[in-house]
Amino acid sequence: MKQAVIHVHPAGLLMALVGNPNCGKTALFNLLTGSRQKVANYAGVTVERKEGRFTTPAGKTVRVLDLPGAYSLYPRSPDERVTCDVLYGRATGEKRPDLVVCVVDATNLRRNLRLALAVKRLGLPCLVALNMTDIAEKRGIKVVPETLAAELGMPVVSTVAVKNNGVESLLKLIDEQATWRTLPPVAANVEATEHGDHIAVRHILQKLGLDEIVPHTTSDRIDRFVLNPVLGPLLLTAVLFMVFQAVFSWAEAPMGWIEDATTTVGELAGAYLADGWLKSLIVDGVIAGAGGVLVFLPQILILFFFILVLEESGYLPRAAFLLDRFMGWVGLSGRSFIPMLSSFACAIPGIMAARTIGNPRDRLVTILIAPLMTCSARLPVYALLIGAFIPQREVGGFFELQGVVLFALYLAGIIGAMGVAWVLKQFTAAGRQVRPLMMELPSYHLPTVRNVGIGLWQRASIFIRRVGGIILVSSVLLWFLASFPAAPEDGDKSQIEYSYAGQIGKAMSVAFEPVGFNWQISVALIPAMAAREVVVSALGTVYSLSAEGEEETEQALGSLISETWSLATALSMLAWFVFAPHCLATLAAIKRETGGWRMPIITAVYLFGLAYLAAFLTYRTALWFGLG
Amino acid sequence: MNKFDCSTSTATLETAGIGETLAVLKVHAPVAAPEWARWLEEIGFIAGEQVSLMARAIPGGDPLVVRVGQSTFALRRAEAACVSVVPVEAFASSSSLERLALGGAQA
Ligand SMILES: Nc1nc2c(ncn2[C@@H]2O[C@H](COP(=O)(O)OP(=O)(O)OP(=O)(O)O)[C@@H](O)[C@H]2O)c(=O)[nH]1
Ligand SMILES: [Mg+2]
Repeated sequence: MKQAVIHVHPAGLLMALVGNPNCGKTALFNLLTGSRQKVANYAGVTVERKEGRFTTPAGKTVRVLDLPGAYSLYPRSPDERVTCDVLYGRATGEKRPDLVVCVVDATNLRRNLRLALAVKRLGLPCLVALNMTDIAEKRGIKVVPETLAAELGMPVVSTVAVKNNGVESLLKLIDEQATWRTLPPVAANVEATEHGDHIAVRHILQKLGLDEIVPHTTSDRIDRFVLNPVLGPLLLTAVLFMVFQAVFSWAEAPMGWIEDATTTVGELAGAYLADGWLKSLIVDGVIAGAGGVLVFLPQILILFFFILVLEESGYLPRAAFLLDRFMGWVGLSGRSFIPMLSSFACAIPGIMAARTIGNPRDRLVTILIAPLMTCSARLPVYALLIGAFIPQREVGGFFELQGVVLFALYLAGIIGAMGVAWVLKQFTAAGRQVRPLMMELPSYHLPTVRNVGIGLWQRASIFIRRVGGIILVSSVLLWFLASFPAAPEDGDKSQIEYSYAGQIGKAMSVAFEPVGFNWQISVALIPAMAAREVVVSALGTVYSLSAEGEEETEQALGSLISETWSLATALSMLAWFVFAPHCLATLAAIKRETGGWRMPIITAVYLFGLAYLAAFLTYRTALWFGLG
Repeated sequence: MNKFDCSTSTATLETAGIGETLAVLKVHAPVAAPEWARWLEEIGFIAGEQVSLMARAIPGGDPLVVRVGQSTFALRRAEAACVSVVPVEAFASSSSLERLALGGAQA
């Protein structure tokens, strides 16, 4: 049964930012509201409606919506539909905006103005924010806002959303309600006027003296190299390879500092706290658990440094272009590339970004394989195991072996995803169609230190909040399960083996014995369902509690497992984590995006199945090679 | 013949030489994907617009890099084949062609 919902909208002005993809709507939104929504140089960054608020100089509070970019008011994918729904007043839980700010890219008025005219025809009060005027100026495109305003019949403000220029004039204009409140006349016949828009735009460009096409010399020159059939793929491989090398080699020193710091804190706590459950909670639960995950912050930041630079430069859609053919073999298109790449940060934004894919089958397949991309939460797990088991030495005189193994793990995830897509292609007829690409290649931008800095700061705080939140909570929970009930007086094994956690682990290890996991790993896999990094903190707690003597407690987890596990077990665990869906938030996102339990259940089942199979094969092969 | 094939007797963007400056004559969608015509028009393939083929991923292969107006797009060959083109000079000099292409738009 459907319930009637009565929406109460907050009073005050509602303003919407509308424009073509990648014209700077979110940058402007962030500037107006002080928020930190994601800005990047490719089409389809924003895929949902985001709300913020700001106060105008006259003291009015304005609610503002940042919307996904659209090429027209006829949606071709779920993200564009969000924008159209808002403009037509069909969006759930939101009224029709009182004011639309059409953000227009000054370097591409030819296409951008058409949408502005179409929005104007809807009869909504409109302003135009003429954005990217800095780049336009550099290219010799001079647009006089007043002339443009006269031609369009709408107020125009010129802005540079990345440099805080023009915001005051925009705010002032928003206050002058009389200038934009007057409704523009609505044309009766939409079909006829669409062609009319095009002719009107040509007319305006001629009037402004901008009907000459200005070539983008710099971007074109870079593209000649980047998109070259031979050099392009080589460059792409080199870039990816360099990222993984850097993740290990640059992180070494800062990781050492954090490790030293946590050890010192652990020793201090050990020395000053009285023996008892509180000491155990702090030393074994908090410091050995959550603290052990904090060590991986530098590696995560290095990975994100590269992701941010690549996103901001405009290289990503080029990489998608280069890989389009490859994606075609497995029944996907280059359009799936950016959602998959976003999944290297975290599968959730990747699953959301699949909204930009118009074809429903492709969108679903992309959602199903996004969790196979190596997200940053796997990095601590990989780094722990690689650091403990893979010797640090050079191979081929140039590459670092640990970096090579990490690269191989990322590759394993990609190959797994492609394999799944290929299998799905065999079963769905639509997998063999020609699917549209029509993907914009934006001009290159030089990433600014400020933007990358802000992005890194955000990532660091997200990670630290995770450590202090979900990871800490699950460490403490596990500590509890692993500490009670206490061992009997005459017990001859370590206390943890009598606890709930120990019993659960022993029971589970029956199932995991064939893949070489001991009971400690089996226990750690349960809290790790909350988040992958938790397996590191959980192992930290389990080993810290089962330690016999003082010196063993203080030993770093890495050296501890390298002494007690076989290489075969470590490799098997790596294989398990390439596939296993240890992340409830991802499954929840899949449920949200597909609207039901079916897909998240299918995803969980197939990924656990693959994980078990991969771990089994890895373990048996390793044993066969005598690595037991 | 492929049902996505919409090549006509006139020259299309798919077969254009790299770097030639051309003008869009008309966009026609394949039977299997009638929505392509609208989509291509929305991203700028409108009669009279200046276009050129910038690069191919592999010589003779898919996908293509295309400049349309001020924007750059990656297109599939099948998509580029929907765009019939003429040399710019031909388009500018032939007012009858222009009327044909923009037919009825002024109404
Ligand atoms: N130089 C310059 N760059 C800008 C300006 N505004 C935005 N950018 C850059 O343009 C790119 C796109 O900005 P976004 O704000 O993500 O664009 P968007 O319109 O929200 O894009 P979608 O969400 O994909 O529709 C980013 O790389 C920004 O840094 C500007 O005024 N000048
Ligand atoms: Mg955006």
